[in-house]
Amino acid sequence: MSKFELKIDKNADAAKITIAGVIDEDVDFNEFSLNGINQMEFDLNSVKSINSCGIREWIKWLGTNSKAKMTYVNCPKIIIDQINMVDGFLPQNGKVLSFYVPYYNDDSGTEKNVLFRHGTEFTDTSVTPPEKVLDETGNPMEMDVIESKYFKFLAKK
Amino acid sequence: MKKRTFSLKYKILLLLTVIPSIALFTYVLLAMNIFTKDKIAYIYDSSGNLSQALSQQLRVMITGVISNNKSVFQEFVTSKVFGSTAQAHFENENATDAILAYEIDETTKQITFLSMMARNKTDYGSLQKKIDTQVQYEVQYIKGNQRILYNLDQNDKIYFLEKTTPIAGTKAIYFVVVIKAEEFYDTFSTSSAQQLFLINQFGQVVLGPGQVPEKDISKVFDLKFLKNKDNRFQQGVEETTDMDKKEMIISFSEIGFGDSYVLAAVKKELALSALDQLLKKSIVFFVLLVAVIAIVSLFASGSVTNALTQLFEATEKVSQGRFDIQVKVKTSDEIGVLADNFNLMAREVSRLLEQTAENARMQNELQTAKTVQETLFPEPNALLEKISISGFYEPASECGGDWWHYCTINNRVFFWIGDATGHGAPSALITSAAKSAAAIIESLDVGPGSAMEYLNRCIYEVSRGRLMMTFFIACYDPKTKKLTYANASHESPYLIKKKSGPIKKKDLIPLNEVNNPRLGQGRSTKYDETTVDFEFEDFIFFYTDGVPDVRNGSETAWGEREFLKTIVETQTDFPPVDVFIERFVNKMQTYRSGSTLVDDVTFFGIKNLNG
Repeated sequence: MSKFELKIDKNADAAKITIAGVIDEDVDFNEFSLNGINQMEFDLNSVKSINSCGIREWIKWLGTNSKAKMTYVNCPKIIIDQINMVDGFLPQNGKVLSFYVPYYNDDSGTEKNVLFRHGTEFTDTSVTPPEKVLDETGNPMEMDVIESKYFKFLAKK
Repeated sequence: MKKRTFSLKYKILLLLTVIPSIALFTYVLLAMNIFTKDKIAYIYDSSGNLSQALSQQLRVMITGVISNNKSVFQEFVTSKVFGSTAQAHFENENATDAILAYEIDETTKQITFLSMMARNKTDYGSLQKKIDTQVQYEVQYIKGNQRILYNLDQNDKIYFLEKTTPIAGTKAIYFVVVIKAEEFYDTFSTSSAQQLFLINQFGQVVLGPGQVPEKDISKVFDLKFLKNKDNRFQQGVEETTDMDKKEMIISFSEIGFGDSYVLAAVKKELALSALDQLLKKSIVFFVLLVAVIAIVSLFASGSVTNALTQLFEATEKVSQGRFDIQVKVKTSDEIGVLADNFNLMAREVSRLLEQTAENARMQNELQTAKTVQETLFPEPNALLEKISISGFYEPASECGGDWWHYCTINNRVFFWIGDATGHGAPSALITSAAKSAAAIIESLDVGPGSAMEYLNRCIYEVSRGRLMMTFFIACYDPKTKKLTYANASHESPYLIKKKSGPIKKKDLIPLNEVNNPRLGQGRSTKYDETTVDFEFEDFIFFYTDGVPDVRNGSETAWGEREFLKTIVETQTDFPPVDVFIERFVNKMQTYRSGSTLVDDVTFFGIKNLNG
């Protein structure tokens, strides 16, 4: 398996783009044209890592079709971190529809990623986390992020 | 290099020459052996055939003579004279030259000449006395009806005694029958490759080539078959020596008359002369063939060893450090392929040497760049306007893409931290440009947002969008005790307010109220700024993203959780900022365990001592 994979499922002027692996300086997004797509959904569930060069290439790639409506789904923490940190990683006309929030139990050391979905766990302006998140043995877990930082991207919208 | 001794060329030459020579020599030896045996068998056979044929002819002639003369003998026994029968017989039969009749007293062995019938009586004038003497002598040894052949020293005249059975009261009459054997005489006396002898039972030579001492064959040859008088072979072949001790091959065949034999003797040396010639010719052919093989081998080994010699000389040059050589071998066999591979290897080594030299040069340049870049960084510990500062920087390679800085502008303290795209020399050049821009900006009375815009213009012009830089600029005003900052997509620093009791993760306040694109992304990007309180003993931790990405020996990243936990634990007692940095560095290095950095690591802390 190569370290980067990209799959585009086109349906009329819409497309579901699934990305997996490592996004770095070796990725050539020019191979994947976004022309003619008016609505695109990026499934980023399997993105393993992204570095500064990968971010540069990502922003340039999305800039080739800046008018299209873009949505990000199944965003792992590394994507949310970049959205929060790098202005432009989520375009102005982009929106996060679902993302993972890491939870952690300090006693047992268990980790879990909980998917927050637009309209359920969060809206454009607020976050309503689940009341309780338990690990497999029933221990309560706490959010493993600094909320003011992790959910900052929602406040931008 | 090992000294060359016995050349491979001569080894191949020796191999190609010796092996065929040995094979050829063995073949000649075997062939000669077989041929010799075959030749001897042939000689045995032909010699035996010759003696057998002659003996048969003699037997036919002699028995014919006896048969033809029986009527003559009968007439003489009856009439005591050679009468008309004898006369007629001599006229019709040419083989008999003379018949002499003797009467012999069996008791006293005294002979009495009776009569003679000769084809030419004048020949026997002197011969008769000789025959008389000979008969007188011979009758001593004749047993019964034994017939013995003799020679009359008349060359072609041989004779034998024919005894008649006496009538009661009479004496036995012996007839000496003289045969003129011209044809046989010529055959036996003519000297040729084969010496022919007709010998009687005593070994006396009746017909032969002459010069036989005392007419005794035993004076000439030592014949084994003659020694066994009682049981002699009728015919056969034996090898013996002559008077000169020369090896002879002698075949013998019994005539079947008077125990006489025909001998055919040939010198073995002469018989095998063809073999000798063959051997000589074979040796000449052998020498020529070996010479041809040697010449061909010389060329063959030369074609092989020339290529190897070229390779040998080339390797000598390589051992002297000369890699700019190419071996010119045109063959497409294993040696040709070897030469091609050698050329490829020499080219590759040459290229690698050049590359190594180039790498060394670049390494030197990078080392110089590192030295220069180190001058871009401030002293790690400082105290400006009662703001205590302490920092740490370690690039992932010789040069890094991180940069941090502090300075005072109009009594305000500015803090700068940035991270260029990637790391290494290209990123270091961007940080150099940022430092240069910062030096100019320091002369201007601007806030963090404007400073960021100037910096952005500079980075954009330098990199033209190819390289970017995240950046965070903060400015502390001691008069207001407020910190104003602008962010170009950099990791948000954490503010930790002074409090009583241990601090927790939730006490980390990210400075992320404003955020704008990275430097170099757009030419005229505007950067927002905002202000927060930064009061006595408040602490801010600035860092680049390489810090939580520090890996241990298992390539596992430190991670944000442990990173934040370390900040909290290290700051929980609000130590002096240099102590905080020292503790933080120790914990980070403990986790890292000497592993190589994957990204540049930069962080610094500031603490407000302005009470």
